[in-house]
Amino acid sequence: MRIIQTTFLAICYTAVSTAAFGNSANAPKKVAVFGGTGYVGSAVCERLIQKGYDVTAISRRGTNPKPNDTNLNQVKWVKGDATDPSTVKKIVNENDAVVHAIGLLFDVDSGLTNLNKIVSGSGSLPDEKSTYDNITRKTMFNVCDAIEAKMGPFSKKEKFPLCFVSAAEAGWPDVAGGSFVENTLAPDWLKQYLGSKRTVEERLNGSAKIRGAIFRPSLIWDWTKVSQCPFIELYSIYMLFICNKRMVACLFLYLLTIPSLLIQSRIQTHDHTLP
Amino acid sequence: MTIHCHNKIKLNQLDVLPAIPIFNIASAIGVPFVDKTVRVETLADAIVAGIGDDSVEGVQRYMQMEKLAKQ
Repeated sequence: MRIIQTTFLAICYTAVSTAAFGNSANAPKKVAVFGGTGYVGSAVCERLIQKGYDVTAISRRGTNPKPNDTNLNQVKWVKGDATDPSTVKKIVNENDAVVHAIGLLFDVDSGLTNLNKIVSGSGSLPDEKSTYDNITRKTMFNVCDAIEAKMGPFSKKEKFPLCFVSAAEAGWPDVAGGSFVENTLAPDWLKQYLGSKRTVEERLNGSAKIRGAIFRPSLIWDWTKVSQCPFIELYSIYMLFICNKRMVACLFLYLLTIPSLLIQSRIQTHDHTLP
Repeated sequence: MTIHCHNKIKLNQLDVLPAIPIFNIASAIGVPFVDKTVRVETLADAIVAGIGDDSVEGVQRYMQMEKLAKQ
């Protein structure tokens, strides 16, 4: 009877594990999220918890950005500096997979650091050491080095899963007109930003021990991120101007309709508030 | 009548909505160096799917992210 009971429990456990983590027997269960308090990082943490993963979030702040969120309350929040190899090594050794979501658009050398208040989803501001090289390249290289050390040179284990948040523009050299845009029109800070992303991508692609998933999003937004609006519009105009001047004319006509739409909307809202 | 939250949400969405299609249209009409914008929920879902799926490796553009997010 006890044997039947044990077998039944084992079958149930396997079924639940498969449903939660996929078919692979070595599927990761413990995930570390570097930059877990950030805009993308916290969204990843939330979903990982929902999927049943054991999540550790590492960041400079080391605190839950949404204390009332029931999912994020289950995350282990760790304060740490990912530019420090020993900190990263300790975290990597305790986990089966890593997400790297550390990033900033304007580093300390860009001359535009205050704009991070507008474009950063989490409102994070860089400190004096926050260069693209430190924030993007060094932190990711630390993660890659720690993973490769953990796997060992002769290991026959499956590749270690590592997700990296890159940028769509890192792929400019691969698309028509992309190199021209970058070489002739992109500002220096953008070239530096993309350079660090590409250095990391090359590092990932060259590793035999890491399964690097490189996510290249364009602008990232959600319905609550209203403050990003002006930046997106300016960027759109900039990109479209490069492409087609006739398109710019259409775009301006389109933008001219926005104030009237907003005014109309506000009038409608006020109408609803009238007694 | 009272103020409806629903109206406030719509107003906020109007602030964002005019900007997003511009970027997305540029991508849709084939401007090769402009990619469609990605919602943070889509990106996060895609990353989570990428952790558990051994076949996910290399560059994931918005098309792959949208596909992964639906898994």
